[in-house]
Amino acid sequence: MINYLSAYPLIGVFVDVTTVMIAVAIIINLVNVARGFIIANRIIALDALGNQVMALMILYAFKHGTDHYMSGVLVICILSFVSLIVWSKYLQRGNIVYPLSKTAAKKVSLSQLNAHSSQAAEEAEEIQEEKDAAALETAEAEAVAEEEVSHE
Amino acid sequence: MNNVWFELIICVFLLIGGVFCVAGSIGLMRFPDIYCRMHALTKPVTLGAFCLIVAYTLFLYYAGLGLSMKGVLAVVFLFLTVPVGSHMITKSAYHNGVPLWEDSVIDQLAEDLKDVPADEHEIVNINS
Repeated sequence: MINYLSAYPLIGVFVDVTTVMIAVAIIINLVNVARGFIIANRIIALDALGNQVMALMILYAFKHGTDHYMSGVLVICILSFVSLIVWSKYLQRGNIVYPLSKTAAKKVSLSQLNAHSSQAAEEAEEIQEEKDAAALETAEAEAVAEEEVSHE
Repeated sequence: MNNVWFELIICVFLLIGGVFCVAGSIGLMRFPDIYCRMHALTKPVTLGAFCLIVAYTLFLYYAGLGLSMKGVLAVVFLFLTVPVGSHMITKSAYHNGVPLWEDSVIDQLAEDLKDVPADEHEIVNINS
């Protein structure tokens, strides 16, 4: 394995210094991940942790002189972004897949009722007809009673 | 080629990248509110990674290993995804009811949410 930094000692010294600095930054970030008073503090700190790990991978690429470490950088960036979006959805709603609004939820429930329970709707109509007939009979009885009272 | 000035430029970019990463982490500890912490954490760390990628590209050119375009791709992804993700997290924290810092001057999101009818941005909780 060739160490490309052996030919450039000045750059080698500064790469070591930067590695130590980013390591300190990662330790401070981990302290905040543990300490975070709100959940959102921890989520943002984890995303920044991914960014700092990406910085470390770039420093590692200095030594080996190849382009392959940039692929890992891209993968970590995309994964942290997708996880941030899923976390925000979970924080807001308590679930990841949900209806868009209350009206949409109501529409779904009504359509399901109409599709799957037509028999129940027919029975409900019959019951309502019976109730209406009973109400009419009671109303007629009351009217007859009032006429008798008025006659008397 | 043994150009000292080129090496010094690469070293300056390396140092700037490292300092920005540390500054972002310290800002996460010291700022009073999550809305301030989001600013303090995402911007310097992204800039630090950008400076490191610039230093890496310059180093590859200086060592005679050819120009690389993967760094540019990583920078484009960083600049597109980090602001979107961090703003979504703070918006969800706002809807969860996290209070602003006491000395905050203005709450712009509350003024924008007045125009939206209540049914649209009402929180729907399936578990309730």
